[in-house]
Amino acid sequence: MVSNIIRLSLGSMLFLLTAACVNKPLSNQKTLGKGKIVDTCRYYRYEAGQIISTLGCRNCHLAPDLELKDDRGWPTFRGLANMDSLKLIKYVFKEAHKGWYSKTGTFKASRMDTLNDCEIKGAIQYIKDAGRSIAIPSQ
Amino acid sequence: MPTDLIDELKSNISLLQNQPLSGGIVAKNLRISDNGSGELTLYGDFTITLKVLDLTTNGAPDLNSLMTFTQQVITSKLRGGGYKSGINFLKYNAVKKAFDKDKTWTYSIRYNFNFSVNVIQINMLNQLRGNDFVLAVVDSIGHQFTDQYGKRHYSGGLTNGKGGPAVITYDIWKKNRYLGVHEFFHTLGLDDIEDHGKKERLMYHLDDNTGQSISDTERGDMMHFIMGDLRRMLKGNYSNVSNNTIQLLRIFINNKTNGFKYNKAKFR
Ligand SMILES: [Zn+2]
Repeated sequence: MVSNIIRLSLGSMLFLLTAACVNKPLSNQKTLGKGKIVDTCRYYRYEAGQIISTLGCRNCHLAPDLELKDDRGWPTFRGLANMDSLKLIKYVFKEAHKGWYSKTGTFKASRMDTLNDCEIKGAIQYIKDAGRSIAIPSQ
Repeated sequence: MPTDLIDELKSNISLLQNQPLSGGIVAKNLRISDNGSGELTLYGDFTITLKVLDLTTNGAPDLNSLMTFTQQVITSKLRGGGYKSGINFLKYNAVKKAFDKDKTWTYSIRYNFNFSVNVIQINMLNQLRGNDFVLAVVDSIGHQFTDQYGKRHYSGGLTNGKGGPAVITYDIWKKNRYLGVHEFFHTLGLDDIEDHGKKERLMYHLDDNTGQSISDTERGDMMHFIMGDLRRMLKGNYSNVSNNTIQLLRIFINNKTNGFKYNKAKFR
């Protein structure tokens, strides 16, 4: 319980404060613990959703519009989901957004290139899932 | 944007004819107030409508009371507006009452919205429009899911993504009266919570809830979903665009992996 809360707040602090790990290649985050390699990257839909919410992707990439692009030519959320993952990584984390999210851009406070590999992976999976119309289960 | 355009035309025509707008989200008296230092307050009067389609084999005698309860809970959860900071968007020009398409800004947004919520029963598919929200009530759901701890669970309800139709099992809804609201809040964009430390939340979905609270972030996310494109604020009125609800429901309910049992004669 406690560790989860700590993990969540650490996640958002890292997200806001760190300026390291820019544009690392996508791979599972691995940590060395007592001689063996442990894969610590797991997909939690809720936490990936929080990353998307904090980045504010949906302010401009609107859901659930049926079209892939809006009247400005910007991809809707469905449009993002429709891109393949590699294009998405390139589009989202490297080239797109007219430099708004870069170190000197107007949105530098929420720089998406400070997410770690595991967070990026989760965010991409979350976006892709939105296009697959996966049923959201309840109790 | 053909669909957008058609919806836009439809809503303009119905305004001209002085008929009420229709759809899951209808908004009037929309306006923006800019405090000049990065905070926008959005005002508006919203009507949210959820249509309930009874597909049970033996009928659902408690449906009316469940719908009334659902209407009351949705109303109370949406009350009080919402707040979201760090919203990156185009810069608002309060003099021109327009968003500058070349300048950007990071805003805090106060959603000062009033909501009126309708939960109404429909009996046939032709009472459904492409931009309606729907909750179909069925006999049972075969679908199971595995939670993040590796445990399997049956689904009492299933929602087909954000904005999409929801399906709920009548008997389970009777036992957990909040289930209808839980599913509808999926439709309004919220995700399930599986963290055992958050059992008091409405969106916690692993059977042993201790409460039904909604966080400020969740309320802000719903307001944001309901309003969608901030540029729509400028038109004063708005009703949500088509999400192909009828077609989505048809595909969703016939998808064998969901395992819905219902009275097929009622689904026409
Ligand atoms: Zn759920």
